[in-house]
Amino acid sequence: MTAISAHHICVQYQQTQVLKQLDVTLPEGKVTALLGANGCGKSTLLKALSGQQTITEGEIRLGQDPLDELSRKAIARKLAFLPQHPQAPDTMTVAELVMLGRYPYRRFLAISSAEDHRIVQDALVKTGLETLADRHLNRLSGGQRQRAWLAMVLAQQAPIMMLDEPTSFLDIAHQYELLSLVRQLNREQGTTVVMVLHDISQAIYFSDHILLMKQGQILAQGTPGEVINEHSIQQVFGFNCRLEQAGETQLLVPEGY
Amino acid sequence: MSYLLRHSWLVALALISVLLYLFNGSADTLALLLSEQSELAWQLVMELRVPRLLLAITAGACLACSGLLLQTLTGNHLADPGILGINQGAAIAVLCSVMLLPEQMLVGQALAGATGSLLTLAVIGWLSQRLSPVALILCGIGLSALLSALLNLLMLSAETHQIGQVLTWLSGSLSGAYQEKALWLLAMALPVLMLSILLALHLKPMLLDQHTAMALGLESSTRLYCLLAAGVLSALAVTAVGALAFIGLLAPHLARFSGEKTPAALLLPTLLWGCILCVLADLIARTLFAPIQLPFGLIIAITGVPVFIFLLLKKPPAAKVLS
Repeated sequence: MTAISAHHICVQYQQTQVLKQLDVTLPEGKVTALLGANGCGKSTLLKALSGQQTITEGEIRLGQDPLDELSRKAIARKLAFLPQHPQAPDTMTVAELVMLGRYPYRRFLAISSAEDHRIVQDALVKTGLETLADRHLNRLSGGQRQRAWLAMVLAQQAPIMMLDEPTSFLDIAHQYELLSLVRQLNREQGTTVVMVLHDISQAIYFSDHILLMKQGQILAQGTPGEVINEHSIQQVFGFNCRLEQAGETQLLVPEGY
Repeated sequence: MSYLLRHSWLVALALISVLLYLFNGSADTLALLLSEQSELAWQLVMELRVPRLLLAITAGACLACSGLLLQTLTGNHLADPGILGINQGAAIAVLCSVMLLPEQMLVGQALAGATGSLLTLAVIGWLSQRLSPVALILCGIGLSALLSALLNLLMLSAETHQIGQVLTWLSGSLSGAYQEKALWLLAMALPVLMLSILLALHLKPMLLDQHTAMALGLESSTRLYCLLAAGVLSALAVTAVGALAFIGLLAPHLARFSGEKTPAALLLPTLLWGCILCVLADLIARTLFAPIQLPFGLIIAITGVPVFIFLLLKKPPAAKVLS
C-alpha cells in the first residue's frame, strides 16, 4: 500500500530546477528517511509532497486522491507537516500550541469540543509534556520545545506525518528520545512517517525505508540494507567511509581524513 | 463567561464615555433636559450629538478592526490601515473633488474619499497576490510616500481656502456629521464588521509562521478575505471621518495589554478601545477650546502617541518578527 505517490514531478525556482522528474512512492505504515547532501532538494520534496510547494510538472496522489484537488484543510486532516523552523509567539503556552493541531477539524464557529481537549491532553501525555501544559514556549528547553511541536502535529491525528529535520538543534540524547518517540507512534498507531535526517546511523536504526537524494533526483529507494553501502554514501555525500556493524545499526568510520 | 467578565470594565468605560459625550459640550444639555426647554435639548442631542457619536463609534470600530486584521495578516504589530496608503489615496481624491467642484456638498467629498481609498485598495489587492505579507507592508509604505508626494504637488496648485478644507479633513474631523450620513455609514459598516468577526475566529494559525499555518490547513483565500475586509473597513472609516491615523495601530496594542492573544479573543477589546478612543478624543476636541472645534484626529495623535510609547516602554507586548 502506498500513502503518497509522486509521478514525474518537477519543481522550479525561477531558472533553477530543484526537483527533476522525480518518482517517489512512500509505503503506508512505515518510517521513511530522506537522506542527501545539503541543498539537494530534500525540503523541497517534502514541501511538494505535502502540497506546500506547487509543482511545475507531474502528479502527486495522497492515497487515491490527486493532491491539487484537495483543500488545505482536507490535506491537513490526512497529513501533518512540521517544517524545519516553525515559529510561534513566545507568550503562547504549550497547551495553546497543541490545540492549534485541532484547527483542521474546526467547524464554522471554531469552538473547541470536549474531544479536542481530550486529544490535546493525550498528545501532551504521549510527549511527556503534561506538567508543562501552561508554560510559555520561551520558557522551554530546546528538547521540550521540539516535543511541543511534535505534540501539535500529533493532535492533528493525521495518518501521515512529515518532519523536516526534527533533530536539528537537539543534543544527542534528545535526538534519540525524539526519534524513538516517533518510532513508537509508528508502531502503536500505524502512522506513516516521512522525515529528513542528517545522521545516517540514525536513519538505519529508526527507519524501514530510505530515499537517497542527489541534485534533485532520487538515487535509490529501498530498505536500509538495500540502499546504504559505502558506494552509495560516497556517491551521495562525496564522503569516504567504511560501514561497521554495531549492534542493530551500522557505524560510519571515516576513511582518509 | 469569564471572558466577558474580564472585559466588563472596558464595556463600562465605553458606556461612560458615551454618556459623557452626549451630555457635555458648549450647551449644557443635562441642565436643559431638566428645565422647561427639554424639547429643545432633545432636539440638540438627537440631531447633533447622536449622529456625531455614531460616526465616531463607526470610525473607531472600523479602524481598530482593520488594524487588528492587518497586524494578524502580516504577523507584524506595525501594520495599520494608514500605512497601506489608503488614507493618502482618499485624500488625493478629496482634494481633486474640491478643486474641480468648489461648491459641492460634504457628501460629494465623502464619496470622493471612498472612491480614492477603494482605488488604492484595488492596487493593494493586486499587489497582495504577488507579494508576501511583509513585502506588502513595505510596498504600502512606498505607496503612501508616493501618494503623499502627489498630494503635496496638488496642494501647490490649489487655492488657499480649498487647502484649509482638505487639511481639516486630513487630520480627521467629525464636524460634518448629520443623521443620514451617520446611519448610512453604520448600515454599511455593520455587515462588514460582522463578517470580520466570523473571519477572525479562523485566523488562529496566523500566529505561527506561514508554512506551519498552511500545513495546519489555513486556506490561502482566508488571507485575501482578511485583506479585503481590512481595506473596506478603513475605506468606510475614511468616508466617515477623514484620514484618521493611528487608531488602527493603538487599539489592538491597548487590547493586547488585557492578556488576550488570539485574533478572535482580541477582537472585542480592540473594537471597544477603538470606539472609546474616538469618542473621548472628539469630546475633548469639541469642548477644550469651545466654541472652536479642533479636528479630533489631532487630539488622538497628541494624547495617544505619548501613551503608546509609555506602554511599550513599560511592558512590550510579545513582538513577533517573521522572516
